Amino acid sequence: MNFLKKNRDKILALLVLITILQLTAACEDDPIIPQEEHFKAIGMVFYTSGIETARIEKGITDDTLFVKAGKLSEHYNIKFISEDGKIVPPPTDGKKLAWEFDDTSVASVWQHEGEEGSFEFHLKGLKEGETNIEFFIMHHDHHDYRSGKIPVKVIK
Amino acid sequence: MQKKFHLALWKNGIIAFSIIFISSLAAQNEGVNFSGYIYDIETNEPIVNAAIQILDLNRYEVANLEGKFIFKKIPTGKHKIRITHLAYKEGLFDCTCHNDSTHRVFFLTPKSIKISTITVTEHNSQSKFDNLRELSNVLKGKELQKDLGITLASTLKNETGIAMRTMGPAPARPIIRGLGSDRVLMSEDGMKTTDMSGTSPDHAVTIEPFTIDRIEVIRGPKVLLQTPTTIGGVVNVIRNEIPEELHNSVNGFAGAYGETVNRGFLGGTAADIPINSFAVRAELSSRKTDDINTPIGILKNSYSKNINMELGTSYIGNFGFAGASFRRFDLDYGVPGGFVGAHPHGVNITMKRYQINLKTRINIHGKKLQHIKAHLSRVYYRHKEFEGDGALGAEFEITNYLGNVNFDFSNILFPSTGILGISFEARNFNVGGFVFTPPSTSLNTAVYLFETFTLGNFSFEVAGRYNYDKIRPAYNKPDASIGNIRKRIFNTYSFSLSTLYSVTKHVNIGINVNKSSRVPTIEELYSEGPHLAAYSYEIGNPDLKDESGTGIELFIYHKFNNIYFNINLFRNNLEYYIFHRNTGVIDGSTLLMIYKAAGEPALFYGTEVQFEWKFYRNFSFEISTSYTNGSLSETGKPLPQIPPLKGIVGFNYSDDILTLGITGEWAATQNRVDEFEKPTAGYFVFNAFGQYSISYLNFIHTVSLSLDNILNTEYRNHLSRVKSIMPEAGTNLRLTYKLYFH
Repeated sequence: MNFLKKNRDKILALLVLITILQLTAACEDDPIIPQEEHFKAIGMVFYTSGIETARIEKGITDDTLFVKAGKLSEHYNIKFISEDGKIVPPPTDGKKLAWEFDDTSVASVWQHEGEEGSFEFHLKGLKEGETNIEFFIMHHDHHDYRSGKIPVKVIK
Repeated sequence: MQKKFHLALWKNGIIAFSIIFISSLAAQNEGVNFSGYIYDIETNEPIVNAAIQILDLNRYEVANLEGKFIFKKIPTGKHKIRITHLAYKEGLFDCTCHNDSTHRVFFLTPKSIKISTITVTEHNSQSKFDNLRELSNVLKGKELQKDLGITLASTLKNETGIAMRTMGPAPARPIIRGLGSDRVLMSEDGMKTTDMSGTSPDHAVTIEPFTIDRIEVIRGPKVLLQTPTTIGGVVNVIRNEIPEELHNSVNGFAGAYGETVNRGFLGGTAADIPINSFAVRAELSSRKTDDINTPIGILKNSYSKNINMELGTSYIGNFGFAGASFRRFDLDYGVPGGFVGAHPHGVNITMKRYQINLKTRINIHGKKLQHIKAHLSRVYYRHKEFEGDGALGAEFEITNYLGNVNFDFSNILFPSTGILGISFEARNFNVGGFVFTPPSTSLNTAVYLFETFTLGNFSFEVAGRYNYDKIRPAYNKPDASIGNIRKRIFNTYSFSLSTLYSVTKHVNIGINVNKSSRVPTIEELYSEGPHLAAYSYEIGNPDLKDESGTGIELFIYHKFNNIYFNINLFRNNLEYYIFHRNTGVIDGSTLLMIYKAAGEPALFYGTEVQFEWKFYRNFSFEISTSYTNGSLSETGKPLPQIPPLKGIVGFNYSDDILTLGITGEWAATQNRVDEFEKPTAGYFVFNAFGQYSISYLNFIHTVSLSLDNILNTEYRNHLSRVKSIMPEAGTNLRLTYKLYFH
């Protein structure tokens, strides 16, 4: 008892120090997830029945996608142009295709049931006119890649 | 040729004369005059009839109507001074009397309006430079409580020479004279704050301002005690989380803060508890804010919430003190989105910082060596960025070991006081998720020397610092698209000299010359791709050199009775200024322009003016302005993110218990913009405030009520990244209540 009384201050300090150290214990047990790969593409190529029908590279294109009003276009498959200029297949690690029309009353995109977000689609002509479409490869909530605007023409 | 010879002769002559002049003043004298002034720390008013006692000589004097005292024939060397007054807390100071007359200014804290505990950050005596810093670069007491915001940067934004860069309310950081990122060092009780706020505009500072005792903005030679970047500065917050003095009783505060513009609320408390020879300090605060209201709508995803806690203890005795502390800071906040330079849907960031500190001061009180101080820290910092759908987009982890050992000395070669020190920082930086900067380790070691001395009417501060930096990425990548990613080693040095001349008793003029250096950050060297939250395509450059430059500053200050003014002119010439330069190349994946880190010559110059005039009894008028011009030296083109001409004008009434004021906060239009930067219109915003303090028994209640942007003016901060979608906050009622107990 005498020992405790005599060394009360030191014991208290030791307890505070132990508390301080304990507060830090197990606070850092949260491993960091590995860095993810970015799908690096600089362009898109559109194929119908295996034949290239349009392409866009670094946001620049001379091509137009056509569809008749009230009808579905032919089936489009998409491949991508890598940074070294090669044609590469689309990503398969959960990334999805997304798009945006300037004017959603002119045309829309249609995909087979169960294939939403895949890299195949049909255009659907809503009314005669012209608009632009931009495609994205979505990784969660942001896009790894954006194509730039591609002209879309809906004809009779 | 002859002209060059004369120039060399003139330069060498000046150097020789200076050496002879300084040496001749080194002769020892028996007995010198020791005089000075005693002022109220809150009001800067003289304290009449304060009793000044030199304890070791058992001599005392009384301050006159101007707060002035004088002792004659005091032996040179170190003395302990005690100053007492019925209405003020006792002050204990160390003072060194040099061979010539010694003049000091002391500040006492009022007992009846106790805003903060006495904080002594240095055990050196106050010099004229300390006086100037106290007047112009320190935020404390009632002024600190009045200006308190949700972040450190918002608390400081109206200080002269300081602006605030933001990307929403939470990720705000101070900018000093147009310079930001790690050119402005954040520190707590003199130890560098480890976080990522200096690397990107969406990263927040991990400091809660409510529990701070005082904030110092350090410029000049003293900067080199902590960083080699003399042209920026240090923002040092003081809490004394490891107690260094033993109080007679438990003291501290409990308080709350609320504001209407974001339905924000904070509760906090801190206490210092003496237990025999031990002092224990504990601190706890919690803050929550919603999205902020602006005059044109709500800024979505601008919420924040944080928890801040600290526990420290110290054993204090005649030998000095030795102590330890632990601090934890957790912060969750939103970064708005949907504008150029931002993630399309905004980002939510969560961060935490755990820090252990060990600190000691050993009192030597020898003829040359006064103290040995050591401070060690271990910091664990973790930061995660979540996209709108909740997926983890990026994460960062830093484990950092820092430390320094300082030797406080005096009269080594000639009458002076100074600090000789060494420091180190060993950092492990890990990244994960969608980030394209390689994990890296870095090591920094430094040695520095700071001295202060007087020669007649001249006061000098001089400092030098040598830095060794090694930065090693986790992998070498010689064929990376940005260049050869490999280990880098930097050897840099910095220097700063300030002199102050007393033209009269109340007017001082001064000059500072300095050579600055800064090592590039890991992101500036190695980043290979887009940054998610800031949504910018900024890439690094592994071949960057260290940033270096020279600066000069002229200043004049006057402090007498009813008038105080301070004028600064500065010019910083950076031979190699690192910033992200537009490459003219568009990234094929994101169609964003690529900005690559580059070093170019740049010039910063400007002026700061502060003026206060007590024109009638308790009524005063104050005005301050700051101006910075930043350009690329070769082309004269403006640099980005330079604050406009700005300032404050205000009228105040202040007595012992009540302070009322109305201020106008203004900025000119900023048209000097970078190629892809938009101009920002000027503005004038009215604010008002009131503060009331009452004391009863051992409690002091202080209440501050502020009404910001009274007219709900729509205005934009040029350094705000969200200005394109939203202006600054609308009308805001802020209430701060603190109960001090002792």
